[in-house]
Amino acid sequence: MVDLPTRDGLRLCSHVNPQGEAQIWADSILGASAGQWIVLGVGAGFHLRALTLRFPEDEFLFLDFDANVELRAPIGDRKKIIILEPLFESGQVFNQVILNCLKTGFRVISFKPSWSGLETNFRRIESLLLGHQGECNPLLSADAGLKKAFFSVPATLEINIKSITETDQTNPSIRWRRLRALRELVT
Amino acid sequence: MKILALSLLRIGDFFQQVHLFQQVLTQFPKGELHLVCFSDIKGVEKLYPNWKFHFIPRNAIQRELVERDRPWYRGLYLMEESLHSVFSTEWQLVLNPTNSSFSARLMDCIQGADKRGTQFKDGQTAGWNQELHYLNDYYRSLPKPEETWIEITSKALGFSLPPAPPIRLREQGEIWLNPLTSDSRKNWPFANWKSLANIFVELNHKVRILGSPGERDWIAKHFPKVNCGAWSFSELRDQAENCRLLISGDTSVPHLLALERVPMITLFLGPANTYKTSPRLSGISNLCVKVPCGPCEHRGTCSQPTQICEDSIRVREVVQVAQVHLQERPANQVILGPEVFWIDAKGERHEKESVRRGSPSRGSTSTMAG
Repeated sequence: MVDLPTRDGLRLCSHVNPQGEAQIWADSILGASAGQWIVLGVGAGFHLRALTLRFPEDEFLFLDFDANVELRAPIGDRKKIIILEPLFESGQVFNQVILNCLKTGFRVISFKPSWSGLETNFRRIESLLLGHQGECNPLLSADAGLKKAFFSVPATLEINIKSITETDQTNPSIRWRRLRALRELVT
Repeated sequence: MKILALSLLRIGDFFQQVHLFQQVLTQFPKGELHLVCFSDIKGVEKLYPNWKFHFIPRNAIQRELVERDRPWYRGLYLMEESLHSVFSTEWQLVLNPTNSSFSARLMDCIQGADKRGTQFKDGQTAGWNQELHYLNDYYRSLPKPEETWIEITSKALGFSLPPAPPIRLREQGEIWLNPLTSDSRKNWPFANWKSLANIFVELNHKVRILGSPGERDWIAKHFPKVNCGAWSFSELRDQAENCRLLISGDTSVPHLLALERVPMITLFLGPANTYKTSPRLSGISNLCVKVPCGPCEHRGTCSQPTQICEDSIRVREVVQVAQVHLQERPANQVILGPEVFWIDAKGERHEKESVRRGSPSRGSTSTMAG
């Protein structure tokens, strides 16, 4: 039995069959190659290995808040691990992570067992990366009109392009007009 | 003078819009024409090296906007990247011949002194004129309008197209058959295309089957006895002088070859409407069907248990009309079936008399009883 890491006594992956759990998780990811993946939660690394094997041509960026992560599975060279401060600044993450990936595009996926004990932090970074309401990244908040529209969406509603452009504005900002146009591509 | 036009439809529509763009440049000979298109039609860029294209990666943007594990704001990033120079330029003339909600909203993001066509201004609809109202409110529901789509679109933007140019007859050359369209409802049965190819070969004509470069193997497999024209659009245009007669469904190929004034017969099936999207060329033939459900809506599927219109045009009718174009048969010896009408090289409509009595025709007709 491999000695598996825990955080504050909480398990970060299955202690019975971590490889099997990781394989099921990797197989459950729908869609084709992403090119660039951002994976939230490093845990013991079994899920990272399963993912890198499933998408052998892709690049991977693993984010975590735990400086003491202990990988128990080899994850190859096509990866980069970034350990974030628990009270990270959104502007810093935008510059350090998002800006580098915007050109190629990226998918954000999470291995929830590895969030154990740090769920609030992980939810916040997920929200920032995906552009949900909890965090407004600088690309959106630079436009005052858009920022206002962004935060006027009910908290229970996950942000999407429809909800952010739901109400027509008088003297809409440039960014809002562009988003309003984009909405027509998906309605 | 910097001119911008939003051409955000399919490739066949783009080739129809080329008539408008040429007319715009006739009126503004020193104009520098820029076009905003979706990247699906990137192949047209090579055809018009003097025009500047700005392509929007629509599929990538849509993916970012709808997939839950992708950041939706990257759709905005992709749009701003692809249209950076469009958004930062002060245009003298901006035209929207697309007439879609997206293009109308995009007009609101572009700075221009003279903006024409369906548009929003500061979030509100603007720029209406009589032709735009007609196009937007009525045209779609008209089964037999007096003007084609590109003619009324051009008028709405303040440009009148000159009369359609005549075909350029070729004494020699091949008969080109273009069997595939992008909409299965516009396709004539594959077996008919095979029969048609065989008949022309037996009549000692040189036949070539057209398709995209990716369809080369498919053509070679199904039409082993004839030449293959699996060409890009630029190759197709370069070879146009070798085409004596094109026979095609209503797709991008006849619209491109109409710009090269190639004689042609177009088969209008499913949603294709000869009165709206006939290739802009005089001296061509259009074969169309008379079915209660047609022309159907552009979006959607066939409403019938089997697609009744695809069987309405028979191989012999196509062969006979082709022989008229090849000057091998007088026009009055074309025998039409009851579900077909033929708009001949003079623009006259022909149909079988018994059907015409039962279903009054709205246009000029001359009877050719079978």
